[in-house]
Amino acid sequence: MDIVLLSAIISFLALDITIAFQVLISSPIFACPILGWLLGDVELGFEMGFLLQLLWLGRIPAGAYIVPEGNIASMIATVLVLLNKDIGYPNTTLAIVFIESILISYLGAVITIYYRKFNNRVLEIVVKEIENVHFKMTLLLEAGSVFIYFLMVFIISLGTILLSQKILPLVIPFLGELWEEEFVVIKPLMLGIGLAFVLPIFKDAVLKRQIRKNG
Amino acid sequence: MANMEQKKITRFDLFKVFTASFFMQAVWNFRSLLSIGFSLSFFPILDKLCSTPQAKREFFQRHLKFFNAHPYFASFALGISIRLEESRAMGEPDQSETIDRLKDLLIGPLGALGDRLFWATIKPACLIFGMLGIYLSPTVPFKIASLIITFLLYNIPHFYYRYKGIIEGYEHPLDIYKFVSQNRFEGIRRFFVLLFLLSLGSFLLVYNQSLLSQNFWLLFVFLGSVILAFILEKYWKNFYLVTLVLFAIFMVIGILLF
Repeated sequence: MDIVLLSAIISFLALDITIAFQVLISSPIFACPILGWLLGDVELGFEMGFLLQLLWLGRIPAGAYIVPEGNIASMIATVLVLLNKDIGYPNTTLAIVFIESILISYLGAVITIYYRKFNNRVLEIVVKEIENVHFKMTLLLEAGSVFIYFLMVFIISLGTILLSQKILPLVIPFLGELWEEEFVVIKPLMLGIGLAFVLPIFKDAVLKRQIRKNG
Repeated sequence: MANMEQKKITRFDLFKVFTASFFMQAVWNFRSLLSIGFSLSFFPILDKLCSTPQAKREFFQRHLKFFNAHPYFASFALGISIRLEESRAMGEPDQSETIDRLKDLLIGPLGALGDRLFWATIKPACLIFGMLGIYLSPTVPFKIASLIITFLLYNIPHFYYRYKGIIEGYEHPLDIYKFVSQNRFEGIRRFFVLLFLLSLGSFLLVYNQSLLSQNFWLLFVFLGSVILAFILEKYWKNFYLVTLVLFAIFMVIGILLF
């Protein structure tokens, strides 16, 4: 499937994170199998969703707190693993893509900050339009803001996938030759780190404590 | 307050607001947080609440002030505002101050309730349940079925509280505190805590057993990374740093052990 179209699908699914609906469809266990199905390997999509889900679950977007954009990172990671599966070296691919996903989640969080700052400007325009009795314009501004978010995610997805597709086919065989067997630790490692991040919220949920916001 | 016979707003109107509320966080900003999405959720019934452009302008000016809540539970504030705005539109005394005060008072409880119930309990419980379903299902159709169950498990309470919040806010605007007390949600919270507990427990049991049957050192990596990440997270409180450092440590361990 075309990378541009894939990036558009990732951006559309990403709207579910906070912008619209919030029905969980952007969560790794849902989004990764969808991408897997589109790229012809739904089983691998399920596996990626399973491996990546726990990592971001411990970050609660309470109030104005900005969390790592794990859902976008997971979707891009899944696409990268699927696009490079024919190279072989599955553990090496997963290890490299895992590191990449952490960096993308950071980039996503930074972009969320800029998007929200951009929305400060939208608020000013909305207030002005209300003052001028242009009510329908406010809906247009809302749609425009949603589109800007879509566009930001689209650019991140497309840029990351294109860049990675230049680098990964060179790096994966090189590292794979050296450490493919050693990288077998990557799956339990991903789940282990994820579980450690979930344990505090599990403890809080059981003990009825107030939500903590991890930095 | 407007009596039942005179009401301008129908159940279908409230349903339209419910559908618009799915974009509640669309223009989330640092100055007024949810206010734009909140204000625009009224759009489907704006003509019923305000008859003149001037009234509409004042309406938006009232609701564009700072507002924050959990996006699902903000529906209670929507319902209250619709009812009080409706009373105002029907010529009853100006309730602007009451609306402002009620919304301000609800920011804390609606945020805390929703965050604790949905973000910290229902969402992780459902997603770990879904993970377990994927892990245990032998074939793709079973995995899809487990995802459908996960989707419903999360979204039935999500849709219910989003809609019910508008209805209850509309029907009981001045005694809404009775409907947003923590005790009311204790039953559902307990159910999902139990699901959280069972799903996480089952996942650990099955996954550990599977690792042990493959290679003892994989179990060592899994449990070691849980313990080390938990400790580092407690002290560093930095997701990126903890993840990257652990990756480096365990890759070295992997190279040494395998």
